[in-house]
Amino acid sequence: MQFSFNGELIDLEIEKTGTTFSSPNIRLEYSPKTMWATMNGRRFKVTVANHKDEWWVHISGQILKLEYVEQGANTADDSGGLIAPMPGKILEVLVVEGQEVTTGQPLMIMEAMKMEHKIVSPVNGEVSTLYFQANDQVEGGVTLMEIQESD
Amino acid sequence: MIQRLLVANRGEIACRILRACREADIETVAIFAPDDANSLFTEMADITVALDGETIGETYLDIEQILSVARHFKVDAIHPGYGFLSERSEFAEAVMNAGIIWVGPSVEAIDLMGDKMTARKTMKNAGVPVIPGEEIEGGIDAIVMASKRVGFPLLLKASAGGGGKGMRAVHSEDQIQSAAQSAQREALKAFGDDRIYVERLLAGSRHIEIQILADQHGSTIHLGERECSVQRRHQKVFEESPSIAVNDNLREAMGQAAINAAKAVDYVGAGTVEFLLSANGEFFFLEMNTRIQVEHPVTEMVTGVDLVREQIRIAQGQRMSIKTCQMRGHAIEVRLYAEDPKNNFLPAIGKLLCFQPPEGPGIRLDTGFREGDEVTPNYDPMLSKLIVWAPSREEALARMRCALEDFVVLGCVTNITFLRALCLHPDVITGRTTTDMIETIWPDGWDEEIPSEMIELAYLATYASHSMGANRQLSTAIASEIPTPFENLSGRFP
Repeated sequence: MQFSFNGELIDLEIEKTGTTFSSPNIRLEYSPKTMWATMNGRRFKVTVANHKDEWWVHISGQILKLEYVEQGANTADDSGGLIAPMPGKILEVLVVEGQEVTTGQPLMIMEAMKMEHKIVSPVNGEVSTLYFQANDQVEGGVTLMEIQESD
Repeated sequence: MIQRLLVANRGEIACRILRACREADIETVAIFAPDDANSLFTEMADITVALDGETIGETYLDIEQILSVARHFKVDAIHPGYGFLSERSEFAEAVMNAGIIWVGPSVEAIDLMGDKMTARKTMKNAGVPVIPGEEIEGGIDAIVMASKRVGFPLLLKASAGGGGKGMRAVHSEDQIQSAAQSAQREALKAFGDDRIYVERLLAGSRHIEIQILADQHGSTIHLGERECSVQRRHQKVFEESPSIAVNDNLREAMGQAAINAAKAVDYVGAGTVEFLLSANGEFFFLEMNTRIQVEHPVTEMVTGVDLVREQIRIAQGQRMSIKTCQMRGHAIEVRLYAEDPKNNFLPAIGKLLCFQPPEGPGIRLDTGFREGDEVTPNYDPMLSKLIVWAPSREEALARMRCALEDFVVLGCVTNITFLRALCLHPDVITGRTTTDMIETIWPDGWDEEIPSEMIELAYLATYASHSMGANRQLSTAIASEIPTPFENLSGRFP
């Protein structure tokens, strides 16, 4: 069973005895949703919630989101795709296919939650494919355009 | 006396008003858009009415539709809350023309204060100090010209608006063109009016506002200040009362200026006069909000006044129940937004898988959401307001830190960990709060360091939950794999 945090796989030895789970520094008594753990002699309340492959964990004011990773899945994003940061509407496309762009150059203007957001190029390169045009509604996480990074 | 009141709003402020009405023994009507059918506020009204339409314009901003609901259910009053139609004088006028009590000021007062340019002139005439700036009715070129007269750095604002929409800070001349275009477009979209106001940006200043109450019997009082300096993208996130920068003399001076501002427009009801307090102690009129404000709870906590209840009292012609402002202790409010502080505070969506607010002495939560609710991109991303009261500022901050630590919100990215970090920041602790502090402290955006043992603990808890729950998933997977006879048949006889 593998989980990642901030895109990095977590690799830890875990021992299970009944409903007690232990890692090198921590002992945790499992119960649904809210459970207690002991770490360096201190007690921590841990709240866990799950949605699809997302696992949300709250520990004393800190919130971590872990992702369940299928064995053998490729987590590296090596496509040149530009991802919509949130659902919304494309207001304006500022580039055309084949155009050279530089890092930080505005590519699109999106509207979400009644505010405008600029989508800027993360790299120097060339716009190879545009998937949307002005007035299109987009879901969060979809690829908006492909940029071929220049060497 | 008001017997039945319609709340022309949604979310946490609808809940706040519906509660106040219930306490005042007033029957309530809530209206809701189809996507709000299961929202918390609809459960708090005596009568709920579904609006026709999909967009905000077709529902919460549809004056005709709202009035026809009001007439049909024979309500005697309408409370507009904040946002939506609260500062639209044509709505106030239509309500009053229908013989319904408008919980708010007169049409004239809304008009005079709603337009930034008119408000400025009115305030200047009333002897209230204003910031250097001018309004532009022309296109981009006129804005560029005006910006040279006003000087950089400057702020572009929508003449008709508020809430940070259409607002852009411009630091040099080469940014003005694109900022003006984008500000105009956003202003047009949000308010149907693309007039832009160019104003000198006063760096290192504080946002101080004065709460006003005025009744129909000629008394106008102020209820002290709220400091709302801590803002991101020109939207407030942390508000407190009293302000560390305001002593008794300054409070009296600003309070009197606010009373003068209100009297200049014959103001009636609850209102807020916003000022910018410069680093050298001068204050300038920013704008007056002719409605109840998001951050009104901090004033309620330190003055003991129920502002919404007073609004209702005043609207039905009674005298307000307080004579003077008496402040006690310290109150802080933080706004819980569905937004990602690590990604430039961009709005986030998701399902509130877990929503467990903190409890304890001096803790108040004004929320429009509860566990299981879906956060959608259709409305403002503010989920709740967490307010604390304590005898001193230091104790209030400590109480807020603990309350934020106990507040469990999972399933949707929120600014809650950022708010906690804010309460731990030395500038907030010492009260060196200014309107530009977030971008000054975290110019490249905010991020947090998560200790490795926390990741280990989170992993352990996730691993445990997954492996204990995995059994159930397995059994359903097996069940669904049991072939049906039909599949068998078709398999056997292709």
